[in-house]
Amino acid sequence: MDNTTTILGDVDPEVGQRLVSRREAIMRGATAGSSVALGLAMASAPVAFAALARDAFGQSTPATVQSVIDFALVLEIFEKEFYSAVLGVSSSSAQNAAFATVRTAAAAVPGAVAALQQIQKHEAEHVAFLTANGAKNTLNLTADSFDFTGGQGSGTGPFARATTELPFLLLVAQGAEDTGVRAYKGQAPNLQSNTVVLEAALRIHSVEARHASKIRRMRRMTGAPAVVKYSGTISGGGVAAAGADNISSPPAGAVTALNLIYAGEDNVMQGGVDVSKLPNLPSGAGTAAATEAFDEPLTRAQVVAIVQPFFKVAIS
Amino acid sequence: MMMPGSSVFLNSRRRRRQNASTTTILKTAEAFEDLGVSAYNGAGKYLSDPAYLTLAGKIVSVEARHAAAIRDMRDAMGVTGGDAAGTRFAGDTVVAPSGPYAGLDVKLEPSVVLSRVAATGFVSTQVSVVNTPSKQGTPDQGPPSPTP
Repeated sequence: MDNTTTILGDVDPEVGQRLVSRREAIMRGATAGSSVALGLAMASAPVAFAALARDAFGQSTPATVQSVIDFALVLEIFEKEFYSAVLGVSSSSAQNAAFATVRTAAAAVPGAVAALQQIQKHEAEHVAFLTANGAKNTLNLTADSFDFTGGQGSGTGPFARATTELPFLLLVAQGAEDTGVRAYKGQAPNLQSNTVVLEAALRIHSVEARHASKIRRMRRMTGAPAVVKYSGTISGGGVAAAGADNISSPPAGAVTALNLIYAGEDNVMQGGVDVSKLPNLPSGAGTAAATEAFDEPLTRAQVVAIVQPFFKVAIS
Repeated sequence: MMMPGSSVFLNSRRRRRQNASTTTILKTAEAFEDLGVSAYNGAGKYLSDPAYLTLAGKIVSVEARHAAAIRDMRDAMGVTGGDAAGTRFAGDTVVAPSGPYAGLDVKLEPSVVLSRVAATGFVSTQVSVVNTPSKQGTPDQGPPSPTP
């Protein structure tokens, strides 16, 4: 390990660091502005440098960090309360009672309860972490603020069968985890003004991805179709990527929700490059593999549209 | 990048060795995947361009899915390594179980990642971090080394 000093580093260490990463990205095929390309074509470091520096600093005004962590707290409370109800450890006796049947079914699957408990523990820790670091529960959410049937308070939403059917429950859990992954990914750029919060969010983001992977493996081992990969990755997009074939006659509302949860996950354009057509890919690595290799972000509005039915109160 | 001789070769039928057992491959894969997660998590704050931050985010969550899958496979094979049975996919040795950062995944600064990569012996090309960055983040918390 050595600390190499460069001319660019002498100018401005941070800018030098940015330039290195951008140059590498461009060498990997990312699109460069025409002025950058011209500078590189001319092998003119100063020209390329100036153009890159301008690109790097050309950022839009981020949403406030406070708003993002408040929103993250809403999602984490939702996840925590969901798993708490499933495991029967919610502070709401009504929520515990609702999942009694499926809880018994889960207890019959080796390892299922241990996995769900580990996930619930993490979601509770995420709530505690965000709260300890300034996130505000602006909606005063409690265990009773949720309608886990996805009926926005009716108690008869399209996911009602998740309280009695284990495959349906695990499908909901998978959707919740993947939504969490996509939500954090979408908000990361809005946290760049606070690198400590950004890094903490990234560390929560990857935990959600580990959860999603485990849920997929649990589903595959209990009858879910092959699109639910043992590798834990998302293959394709829309409801097809959910792998709901082991749910008999899923309600139309559930199909609609799954289409929202996995919207755009079939994207293959990364950094301006179609990664399904990269040279020297192993045989058989086509579009499906390309979609599995990258997870996609969701906007806050997309996330709200997905999770609103699970809240009795309006969120935004 | 040069990869020197080793008992484990992935993705190369021609160079696969008889002693590259499933056990060894999975153990090595777990080390790489967890280290990959910690590297991306520690490097995100140095990516100034939001497009690149997003691109890195698209990759790190897939790495985390892989890490969880490999860990879960080894869990089923009876490996614990400090994690409770059935929880290795996101075990307490990689997701902090207590303290002010409880619930957060592994994270390492770039220079520490390179030290760990060098220690594996899998990479013979010298790699260095240019202008070791110094942006405020969270304390380093790496996966177990050596991997159990």
